[in-house]
Amino acid sequence: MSEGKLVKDVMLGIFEYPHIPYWFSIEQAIKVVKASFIHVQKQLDPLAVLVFDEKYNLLGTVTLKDILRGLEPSFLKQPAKAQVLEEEKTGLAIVWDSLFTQESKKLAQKPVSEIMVPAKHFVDPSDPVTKAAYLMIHFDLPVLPVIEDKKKFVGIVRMVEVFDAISEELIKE
Amino acid sequence: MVELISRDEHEKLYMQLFDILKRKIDNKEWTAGMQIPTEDQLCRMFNVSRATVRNAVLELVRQGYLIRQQGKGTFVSRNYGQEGLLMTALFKKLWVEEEALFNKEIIAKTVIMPVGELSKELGIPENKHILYIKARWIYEENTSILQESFVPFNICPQLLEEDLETQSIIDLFEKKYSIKTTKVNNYFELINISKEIAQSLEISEGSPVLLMSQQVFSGDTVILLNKLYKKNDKIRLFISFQRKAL
Repeated sequence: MSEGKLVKDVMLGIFEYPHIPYWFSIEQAIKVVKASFIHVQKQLDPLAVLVFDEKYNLLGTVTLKDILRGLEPSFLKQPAKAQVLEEEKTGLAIVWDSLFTQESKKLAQKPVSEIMVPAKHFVDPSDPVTKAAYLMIHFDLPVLPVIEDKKKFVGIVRMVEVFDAISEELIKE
Repeated sequence: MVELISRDEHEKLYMQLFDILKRKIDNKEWTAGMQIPTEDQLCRMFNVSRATVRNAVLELVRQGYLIRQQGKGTFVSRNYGQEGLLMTALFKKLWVEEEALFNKEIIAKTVIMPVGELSKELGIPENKHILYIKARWIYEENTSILQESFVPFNICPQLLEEDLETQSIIDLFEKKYSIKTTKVNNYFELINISKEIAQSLEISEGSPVLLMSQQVFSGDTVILLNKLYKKNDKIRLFISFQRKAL
């Protein structure tokens, strides 16, 4: 697929996504998500916020899942809970009601640096889209940063464009 | 004449209402000392929610156009627009007598989103990126003033690449990017310092500090918001006004 699409053909600009510094609290991150995506109904799935340091270097990304995971009370983080029988789940109804209220308010004051997914994997604008696909699949990444010349953060690749580019190659005769 | 609010525009409703009410004061349709209509009346006049009215009125109060009197109502400020002595002041980047004695050290320069109060102070939506700069002003090896600066990113994206330790943002705007400053609003308040700022100023959380907020305008647009936190030390803030010789 030498003539296949490159990362630069499918990436989005970084200003499509909101930026926050690592010292912002989870609560501030939630407000950013609401103001940037939910209230303006801008659908840029997966919704992600980019986290930077004092010198505007990308540190990582925070998605809705990371935020919810950060707010989840510690007592629920038991691997055994998935084994609960169907009928017993209804017995948990009262717990569900208060699940994200008490402890979560305190947890929301934690800095986002504690919940973000560190940016360890990158692609270059001139890399093939297939490399982006490989990294996304193997490291379970919903968005992938695009770094030019190993230092300048220039864009974001999402799975939807990667899928589109690769599937297009496959189905065309 | 009742001006109407446009719901097609992206500008927030309360900002539009703010402009409309401000014009009423500027045009002397609402005169000094006059009581303005109640929140309910304003809601009906402009067909907007109570929250919109409240935000617009609060902003006018904050900017000194209106005064709220507990239990009585909201009035047009008598001081607003009153003629005073017209004097000029030299605008300095730091409000101290001897700027040269201070060293500036940038401790953060990054991009953030202006959620909450910040979006109101900058007059931009919460989903617009802003450049955030945090700097220490050091006098005799002590941090005397902590400065936070906020610039809407679209005003001057190039600022991100500029050396802001040796150059001031306003100088860069004026001399390099042809962005003219037309007005500067200054607010002073005594606050108890938050944990984060306390650390940078090397004082304990909750200590009183003087906060000077500075809105720098070009026309109607806020191009820069400065927040200077001044701790209690031997440095005094200084500003000199002079009558312009004719």
